[in-house]
Order: sequence, then structure tokens, then C-alpha cells
Amino acid sequence: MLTNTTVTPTSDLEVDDDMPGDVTVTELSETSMTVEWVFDSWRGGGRLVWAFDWDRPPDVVAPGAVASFDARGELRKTNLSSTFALTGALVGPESQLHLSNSEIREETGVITDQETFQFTTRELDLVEQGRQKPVQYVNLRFRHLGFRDETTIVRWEYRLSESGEHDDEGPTTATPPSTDGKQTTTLPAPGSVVDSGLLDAKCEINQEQFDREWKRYSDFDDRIPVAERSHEAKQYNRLATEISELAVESFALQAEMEVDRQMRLELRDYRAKLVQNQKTNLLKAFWRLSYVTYSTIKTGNDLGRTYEKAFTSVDSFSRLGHSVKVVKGLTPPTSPKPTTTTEQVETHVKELGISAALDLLTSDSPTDYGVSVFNSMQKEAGKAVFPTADITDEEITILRTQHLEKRVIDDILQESYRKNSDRRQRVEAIHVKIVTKGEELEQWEQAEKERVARELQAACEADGGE
Amino acid sequence: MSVFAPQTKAPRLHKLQVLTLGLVALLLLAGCSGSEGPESTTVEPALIIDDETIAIPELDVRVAFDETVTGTEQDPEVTVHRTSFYDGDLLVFTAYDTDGDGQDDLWFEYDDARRLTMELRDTDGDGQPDRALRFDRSENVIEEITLPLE
Repeated sequence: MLTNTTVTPTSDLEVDDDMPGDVTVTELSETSMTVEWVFDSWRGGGRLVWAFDWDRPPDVVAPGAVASFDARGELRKTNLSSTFALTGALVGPESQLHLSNSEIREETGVITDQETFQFTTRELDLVEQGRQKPVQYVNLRFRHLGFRDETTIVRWEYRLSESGEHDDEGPTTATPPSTDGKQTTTLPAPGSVVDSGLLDAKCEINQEQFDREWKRYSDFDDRIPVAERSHEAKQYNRLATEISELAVESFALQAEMEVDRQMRLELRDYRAKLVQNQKTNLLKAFWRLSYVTYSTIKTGNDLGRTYEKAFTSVDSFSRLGHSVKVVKGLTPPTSPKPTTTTEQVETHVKELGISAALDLLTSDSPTDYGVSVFNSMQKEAGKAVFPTADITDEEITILRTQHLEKRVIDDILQESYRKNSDRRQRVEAIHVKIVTKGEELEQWEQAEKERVARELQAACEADGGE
Repeated sequence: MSVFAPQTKAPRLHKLQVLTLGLVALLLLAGCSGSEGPESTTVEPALIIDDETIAIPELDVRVAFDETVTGTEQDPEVTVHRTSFYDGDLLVFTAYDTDGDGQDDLWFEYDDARRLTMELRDTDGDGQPDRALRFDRSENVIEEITLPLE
């Protein structure tokens, strides 16, 4: 049971003797911290701002069960090569230690990272039950090259429950856990449970029937407000939402990758026409690309920014520049909406399970969706009234100089490939997260099932089962 | 906004010359392997870039270039350093330092239509690629390779 959260105060933050300076905490709450450090060093000194926010770990953690929380760190405006790490540590007698470090380096700008920390509390002996001293701490630590040691930025303290029993046991415990103190399931009258065949006269579970019907007695019921559900059902609901959000993000990224690919095709087509000096076709390709680029930007998709360089590099030239402004002013088409929303995916996750839900999501292929988005723009580009094709040979020379000789098109292609690589990596990371969270989801489903069984049995026994 | 400046203008070599140099190097290596002495434990890097060629021996990739152009790409949160390799006017290869630690960690190889044919990534921070993706002409991933090869 989580009983206390301590965020490290400013006075306890230390700086390295070799790089003295002022450390100021500018924001401090139970879930976030922003620290400003103005330092001196032989390298000339400077200013660092680092910010963290984290999710509160579960209130109740069962011995042996895996619990997790997310923490995010960001290092800003550094003017020296910096490394930071967020470190999760579990401390306490005989504790198991599960570390998850993130270490990144950057000399300028902003670096960010996010980690999911997992920890497992140790198995507690019976003799310890009822002891009131803290039995487990979970620390989130920050390490920076300017610090000699890691600094704990937040500490959570877990104790055994006052009753001496575990308030809650997670999905992996073998011992039947109790719930978080509230009975939220609408249980049938004890007699009727026996009558229904779920339990026998000795209050033993009829497993086959229970496997079929247990959800009817569970808190997996959208009519019950989330806050009033059992701890197990709340965790299940949280994971289902997270998985759905990740799945939808992955879908959007994959669709974006396809739009980007189509735009690269347009760019290469334009380049080929420029090389071949096909004036009429060249202009068509140029205006089509400009329309698609600015439509993409206007609909809030940053991928168009990569291609915008093709037009900003010529907009200082009067006639071309004026025409590009005209294209920028055209109204973008309405993009087709993806058919699946986070809410719909979440419903499918809960009703059909993760695999089926993801199958359903990908049946509306992200690639096909990306193609439909791009086609809708291209179709509108075909209808749009573009600036006059009356462009001089001199202006074509300008385009050739900017786009070929100064290699602006190569710059765009390279940046586009890099950003696509980032998207691909994010999609892969999401896939791993979904698999992990999917396993956890199944564990909480099993935990809820066990909770329902216990409560039905308890109700039966209280009613005087044999 | 990218800021690029040509960095190196190496004398351009004919591909036959590159091939000849490669063969000479191979012969020298073969000669060394027969010599006596303690067995070398040095692991050959997966990616070798010299003044004129980029080689990934394990994947049988060899790319000739005669010019490099360095510059930066500005993302909202990070400045990305880029080195573009040209063979004449043709962009043939790109190396990126995406995290600003001074060593490259992402590489692209292109065909003569500037289509991506291979992406290499350093995922463990040792400055060498350990993951390669090959692409077809439509830029679909057709092969994923872990380096060094087993």
C-alpha cells in the first residue's frame, strides 16, 4: 500500500564541487519537478534546465507482482555535452532491484526521454505482517554528469496494510488476493449463486460454468463508473485505454509514412522533369507538389515542412514567389477521416481481446488510408486553378540552380528519409509496448476473475455453505 | 533550415581504379592472414568509410564517392548533423549524427534514382551499425539484418 510520496526539496539537491553553481527548483509538485542550474566550470559555465514529470505508481502493489509507472525527463538549453539518466530503484530489506536507465547525449538544444519503470516488490514473510515500519521504497533518481552521485527526485513509500494482510495482490500472485477494500461487484444473492450452478453446495467453484459466466459478475461493466470499480478492473481499464491510444498513434504514423512516400514520388517526378527541361510538365509537377505541401501543412501535418524548402528557396524571386503565395492561400481539401477512433479500439480491446482489436484496426490498412489522404489532395490539386504557366526561361534557370545545383531536392529527400526512419522506430517501439501492456492486461483480467471467484465464495460461505 | 557547405573535394577515381585498389587490399589482407604470430582479436568494423569509398563488407556493399557535404537539420528539439556523400552529381549515401554525440548513428544508401535502398542504425552507441534494413523499389522493408552477421 502506497502511504507516502516525498519529492526532494531544493536544499537536498547538490552540485558537483568541480562545477559549483546555483540550483533552483522552479516547479515542484508530487508529479513534476523543474530545476534550473547556473554553473561555473573550466569549460566556461552555463545554464541547464531539466524537467521531469512522472506518473504516480500504483497505490497498491502485491508482493511479487510487477508494477510499472512512466517517467519523462527533459534537458533544455544546455551548452555543454550532457548526459542524463532517469533511474528507477527499489530499496528496502532484501529487495529485488529492477533498473531501467535512459542515457542520451546532446550538446545543444533539448533532449527528452521517456521510460517505463517496472518494479517487483519482494515476497513478504508472514512474520512481517502487521509491522508498521516502511517495508519498501521505490525511488526515481536523476543522474547528470555535473552530479557526483545520483539524486533521488521522488521517493514512494510502501507499507503493509494495517490489517496485516495485503490490501491487494496483483495479477501474478498465487495466493488469492482481496480487493482494495470495496466490494464493487453486484453479486447475486448467495443462494441464487448456488442455484445458478456457479458454486456447489460446499461453495466450491464450478469451473467450467464460472469460466463462461464470470464476467457477468465482474466490474468489467461500462455501466459502473470507473472510479467505483475494483482495483483490478481499474487497472484493466487503464491498460486498455493506453493500448488503444498506442494503436491509434501507430496507425497515424504508418499513414503518415505513406503520405511522405507519395510526396517523395512527387518530388522525384518534379526533379526528373527539371532535369529533362520539360517546361509544361515541369510546371504542373511544381504546382502540384506545392499544393500538396501546403495542404499537408495546413491540415496540421508537419511532414509538409520538409518539402516547404523547395518553395521557400525560390520565393524571393518575384513571379515564382508571388505564385507560391497564391498556392499557399488555396483551401486544402478535407482529409478522409480514419474509420477507427481510440474509443472504438478500446471497446474492441475489451470485447475481443488485443489481437482481434489490432487485426480490426489494421484491416483498415494505414497504408491505404495514407494513400486516400494523399489522393484527396492530388484530386483537389487537379481541380485547383494554379498560377499562370507563363514562366520565363530565366525562372526555369532559377529553379534548376536552386533545386539541382544547390541540391535543395537532395536535402529534402534526405530529411524525409530520416524523419521516416524516426517514425518507423516509433512504430516498432509502440508494437513492443503494446505486447508488454497486452500481457499485463491479461494478468489483470485473470486477477479480476480470481477476485470475483473469491467474493462469490465468501458470500456463499457467509450464507452458511457446507 | 539546413546550412550546408561542401567539405571535401576528393580527386575523383574511376570505378575500375576503386576496384583495383580493393583487390590489392584484399591480396594484402590474404598475405597477412598466413603470417605467424598471435591471432588478432580485432573486430573489423561493420562500416568502413575512407576518402573515396564506403564499404559494408558483411553486406557486400561498396559505394564510391568523390565529395562530401556536411550540414545540419533543425528539428524542434534537436540539431541533427548530416554528411552527404556524392559521386559526381549523384547522392549516394548519407550519414547522420542524430543525437549530437559526435559520432554517426544513422546511415542511408541510395540507388541511382535517389531511392532508399538500405538504412543502417547504431542502436548501442558504439558508432557502428548493428541493424540494417533493405528496401525494395517501393521503399517497403524487404529484409532486416542484425550486424555483425552470425
